[in-house]
Amino acid sequence: MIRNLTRVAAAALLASATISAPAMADEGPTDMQIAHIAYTAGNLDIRYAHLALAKSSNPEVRKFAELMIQDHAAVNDLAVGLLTKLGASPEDNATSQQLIADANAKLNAMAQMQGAEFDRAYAANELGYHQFVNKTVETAFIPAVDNKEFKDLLGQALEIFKVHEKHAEHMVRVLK
Amino acid sequence: MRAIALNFAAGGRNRGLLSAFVGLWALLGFMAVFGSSDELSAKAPAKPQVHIVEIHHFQFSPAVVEARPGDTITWKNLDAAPHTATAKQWDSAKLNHSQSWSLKVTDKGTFEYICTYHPAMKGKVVVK
Repeated sequence: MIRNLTRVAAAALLASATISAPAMADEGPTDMQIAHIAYTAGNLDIRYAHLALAKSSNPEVRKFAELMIQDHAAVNDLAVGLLTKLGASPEDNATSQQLIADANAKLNAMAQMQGAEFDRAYAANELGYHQFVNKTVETAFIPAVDNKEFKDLLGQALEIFKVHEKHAEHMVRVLK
Repeated sequence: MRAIALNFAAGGRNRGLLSAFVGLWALLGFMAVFGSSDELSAKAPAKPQVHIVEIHHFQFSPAVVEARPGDTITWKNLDAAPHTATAKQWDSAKLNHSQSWSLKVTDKGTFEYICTYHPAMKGKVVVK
């Protein structure tokens, strides 16, 4: 019952966020679906970062983007290592697909921007994205996950992403 | 000297007393020349030590390390995120999760360092 509630909470949180999750199963995500969503979210932030490196000449933005590539790649590598050790495979799901679709739209929109406009849009998106991901991981995913090692990894990842969130807050302030 | 010779000639218990006396005399003579054992250890150069700094939860722990020239400091990254330990004088370069880097300190001084990826992370090595 408790597990079902946390899964419903996870689905509700994702559905109410700026990134919609229309097809989340009623029972909420399984561990392997959560793994897929988390991995996808990390990869999408890496894509945002690569766009920033391609378009921005602002040192603050470029430094942040390089950090996102490095840290999210490191977390995803650890996740792959854990899944390999567990002999498990992440399970694609509607939420992951929705995350990708929403990110594609944002990436296309930001790709049309130039200079300071792009920098501000990137910074604002990074702040919003990390706020959303962190809230989801902390209040929905970690309580719902069964596997202890995976739960611990999500905890470590959350610690990193909270640092990113503060960094993004700073970047938004600087670029105003 | 004669008494000693007589006692020695008596053998047995007296021979043991003589040995103890000679041993004590030799020890006192040695200490007069070289000092006590405590003084010896104080005068001997300190054995180089290894200091471990764990990088965990986006902090260097301990944040301040006191070392002597010749000591080694080893940083271990326990975080999932890569970090560095970077001062003006030295740089660990990127340390991924579970990687370590060691530095043998030779010069006295205070060396402040940061993680270049997360500059809010700060530490200090004091060599004296």
